[in-house]
Amino acid sequence: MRHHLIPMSALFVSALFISSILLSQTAPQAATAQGKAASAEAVDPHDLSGVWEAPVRVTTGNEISPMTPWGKEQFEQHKPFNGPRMIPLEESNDPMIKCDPLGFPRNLFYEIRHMKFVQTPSETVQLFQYQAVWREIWTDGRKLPTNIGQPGGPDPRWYGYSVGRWDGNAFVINTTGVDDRSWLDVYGNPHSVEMRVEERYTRLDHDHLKLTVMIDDPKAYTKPFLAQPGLVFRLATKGGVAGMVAWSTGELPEQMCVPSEAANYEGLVAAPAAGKTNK
Amino acid sequence: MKGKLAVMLAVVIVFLATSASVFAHHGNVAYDMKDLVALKNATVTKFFWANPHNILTFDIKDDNGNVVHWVGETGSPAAVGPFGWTRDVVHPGEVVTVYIFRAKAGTPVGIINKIVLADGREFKDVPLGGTDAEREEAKRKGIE
Repeated sequence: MRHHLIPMSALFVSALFISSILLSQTAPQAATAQGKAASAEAVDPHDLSGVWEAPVRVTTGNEISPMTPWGKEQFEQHKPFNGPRMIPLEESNDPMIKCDPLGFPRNLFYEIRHMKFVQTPSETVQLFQYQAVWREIWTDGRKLPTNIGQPGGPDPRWYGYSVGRWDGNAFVINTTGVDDRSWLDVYGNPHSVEMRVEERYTRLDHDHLKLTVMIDDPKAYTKPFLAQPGLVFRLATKGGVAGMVAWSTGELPEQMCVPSEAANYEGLVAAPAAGKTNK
Repeated sequence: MKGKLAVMLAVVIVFLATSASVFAHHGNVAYDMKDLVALKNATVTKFFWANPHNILTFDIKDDNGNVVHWVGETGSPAAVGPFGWTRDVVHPGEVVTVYIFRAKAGTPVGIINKIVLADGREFKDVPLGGTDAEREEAKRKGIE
């Protein structure tokens, strides 16, 4: 027996946004008494340790620069299942559907969830929950490679090549050489192998870490742009979430995109949802 | 105090910048997100606890007594875990009620808003199949 419930009401855009912003501002402060005390706890701003938590989706789109002809050509070929150009997932060619790597810096804008840093004297390793990937950020003074993807040069990589340094209390990471099969974000904005990304991580206090991301990709965009003006990570205080339990607080839960599971989803859900026959 | 104000402003900026993305959630374009249907006496056949989304398959008898094989998706384990879901929340053979946003194509596929077990327990999927009000409430609670 099927019962149609009351149809959904229209979105209350302004009021909901504003009210949610006001209420969400109080949520972190009211979360726990321990949380409030921890923010006042002294911390070395050069200490990036901890499991950092961010919203799942914090996408670009606010500051995207105009594209070059090459950039526009790539953009038109990308068929996203997210954003203003979204189409049914079954018809999308977003590489993540088949569990291709999100790549960098897309993994800073989508499926962020949890990440952590491990700092050593010569490098900092950044670990990500989604797909259990890592990046090595060399702090030993080496320069980024050149001629990436060119004859005789190193291969492009899904997560590029990165070097890092401290600029006061900001950990600055420069990256280049990202494989251009990845998208810049869920909207299908493109990037080239020549893209240079600058991240700045600043520990605001014991419980908060701020990230900005600047993109400079003359092959795809006419000028640099601030893709992420200020994402604030919060120190995670629980050991994973129900259903994806970490062994203990301080550990990243495992979250994998499994090709066989993705294929099962496509056959059982995505195809019939688009009106196509179950495989 | 100045530092805290900067943090709060940054949080505001983040939510302002990302609010549109919440309402343009991936995958929903194939579904009618304004028409929530309650499917009673749904017999569970399978529950896939997996990425990218959990999948619940179940059988419903239509008005003519014919068995229709339905498929409902929820958010990923990571997404719905905070809302109480686990791999053991439901088992084949159980009879539940499924609240679902149906595919525009008219096929027996949809995004699950919530399931209600025989014992009355409810499991909501706020991230993928939630209503706007449910998502706002989750944000206020700091869950999503």
